[in-house]
Amino acid sequence: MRRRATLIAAAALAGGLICAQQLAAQQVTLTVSLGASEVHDSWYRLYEEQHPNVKIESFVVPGASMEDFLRARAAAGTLPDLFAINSNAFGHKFMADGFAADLAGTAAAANTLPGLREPFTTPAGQVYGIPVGTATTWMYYNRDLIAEAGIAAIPTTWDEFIAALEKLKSARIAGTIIDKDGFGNTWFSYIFAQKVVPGEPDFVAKIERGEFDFTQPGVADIFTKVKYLTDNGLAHKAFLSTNNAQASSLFLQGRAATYFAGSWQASQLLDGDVDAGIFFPAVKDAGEATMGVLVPETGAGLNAASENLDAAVDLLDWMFGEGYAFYQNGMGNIPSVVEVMGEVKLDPRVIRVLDEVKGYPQTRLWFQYLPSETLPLVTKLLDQVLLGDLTPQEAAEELDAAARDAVMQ
Amino acid sequence: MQITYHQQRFIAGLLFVVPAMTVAVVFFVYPIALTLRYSFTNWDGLFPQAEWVGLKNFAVVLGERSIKRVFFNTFYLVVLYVPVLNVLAVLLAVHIHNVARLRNVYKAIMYLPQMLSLTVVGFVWKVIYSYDGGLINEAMIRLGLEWYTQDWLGQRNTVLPAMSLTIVWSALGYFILIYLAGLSAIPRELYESADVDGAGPVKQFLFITIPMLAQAITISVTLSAIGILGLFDLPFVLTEGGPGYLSETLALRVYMYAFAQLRIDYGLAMAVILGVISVLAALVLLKLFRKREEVYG
Repeated sequence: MRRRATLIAAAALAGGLICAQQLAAQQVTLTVSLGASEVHDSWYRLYEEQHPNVKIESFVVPGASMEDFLRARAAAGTLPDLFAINSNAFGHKFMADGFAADLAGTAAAANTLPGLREPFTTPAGQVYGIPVGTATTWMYYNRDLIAEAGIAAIPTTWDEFIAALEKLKSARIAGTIIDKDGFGNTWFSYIFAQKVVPGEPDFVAKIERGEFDFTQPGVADIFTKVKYLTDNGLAHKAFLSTNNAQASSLFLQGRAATYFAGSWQASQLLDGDVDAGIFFPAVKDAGEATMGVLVPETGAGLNAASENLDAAVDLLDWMFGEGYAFYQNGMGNIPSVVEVMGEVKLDPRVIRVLDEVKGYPQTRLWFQYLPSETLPLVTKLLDQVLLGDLTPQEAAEELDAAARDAVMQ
Repeated sequence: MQITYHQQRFIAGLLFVVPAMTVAVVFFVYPIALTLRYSFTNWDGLFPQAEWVGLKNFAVVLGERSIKRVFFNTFYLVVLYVPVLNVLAVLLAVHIHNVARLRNVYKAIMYLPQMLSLTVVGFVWKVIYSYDGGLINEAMIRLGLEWYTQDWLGQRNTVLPAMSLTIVWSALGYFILIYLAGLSAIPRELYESADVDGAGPVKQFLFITIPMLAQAITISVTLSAIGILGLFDLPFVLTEGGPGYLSETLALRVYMYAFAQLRIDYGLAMAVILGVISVLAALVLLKLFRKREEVYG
């Protein structure tokens, strides 16, 4: 009897040990470097609750650009299982070099809006990122300051915009904030889309081949327009030293009437103390057809060499499937997925301008269609134009030389 | 086999040196050698493969239109910063050395900025220099000097002096301590004799203090010059080299190549150039000041 009990106890213990081992074997820890907001953290906790065998360790490196981070981690062989990646030349190379997993067959890729997956797709058809949202840039404005200056109608053309800024200047109100960090995604992208893209529908391929002519008037016009604002006192005075955080802060303090910034800043800029609105960037001339810019936000990529690649794919599919509504509701950004399994929460002001953008022909890339070596140059060129060290045409010529040189190399 | 006394001493000496040598070789000599090697290649920072390209990287970085401005900024900062910093540090050190009460409190106050990281210093001064709401401009507005408010970090004439002021503020405490150490080694009898001979405070300062501080001056000038040549974090946080290239330094250019333009090969070539300049500057300064030390020695 005693021997039998011992045998049963031993069997139960062995069974328990096997179960524990199996459970431990199924336990997966995924490293994720996608974002550091509270929304991200809550998003991951929700996944852990629904998938008790998965633990997510989230981290970001403050101050490092995505490219810096990915390059260093890839070289050291310590890429996280899931990481943030931009749709640009670096991303393409990262995929071609075999660091990013091909996501083409995932449910996440299948659920991505048409047009937003292409920027993350290499010429070979491999997908290296799933955008976390759709983005554009637009003009935020302070309703009180606009009314104070006696501006009755929202400008739709460049001339109307200048006239509005002149009125603001007369009322001793700073017209618009030039945000150096955001120049590429705002002024450069929108004026390029408006003035260059209609005449150069094949511009992405031409730039990639080093055949695009940046010396054409449309490119110089980008610099000319911004210089006009600063030379004529229509912009906030600190236009050569204001970064993104400072620009947002200035707008929220009511120090300027308008601010050209990203749709991803909507919850920050629309829900502050300032009574704010948004309007479609007025950079076109009268009678010109309007062009929009509607692009993917940062993407989520997977480490091709991850030991937990299957678990990471499951997480990715959940993030852009069942779990997407939670993220969208928290961020208030524009969805990038075909089917949001839940309610989409968007500010009505965002919906109105978004519908307007969708109504126009659009480009699907920021200024990141430029070779990555030339991206920092764009802001430097703007600075030099605004300082008077270069003419807009000289800046365009320098960009042309740098872009061709980058492709040649 | 019998080991002689001299052999024993040699082995013992070697064993004492080996740990320090290992650290130096692994963390200094080897990385420098690798930097030098890869600066002559087209290494992309991701894969070990790299092709030899000779002097091409050096030709590219030295052929940039903006490179003259970057050299100018760096040497402007050296010329502005090294003399101002050292003169101020000597004067303040002498003053602190001579005060009878609260000497340690003054030392602690002057040293406080050194305890902050340069990144923190950069962010603090960025706020101080802000056009809107910055401490300097707000003070001017309250004093009725609104017309003198400036975009301190966004203008050609003010950006480098503003940056220099921040660097001096940050580094002053460290160099005061070096000079205080030098001052404490000067025998009091020299000053007492000078008093008897009727020499006033200025003459005592010029003919006793300064000559007797020769070694401290050599160390401080050399360290401050090398420090400013390699300074990266403060310019990066304050201006990122802007507006345009008006405050970009050589060390910042290394970063821009390697991490903004993602051209590790150019960044390494620039790092080698900066390294050579730093070594040459240190050798020249040491030679110059050692001569003065011998004169006063």
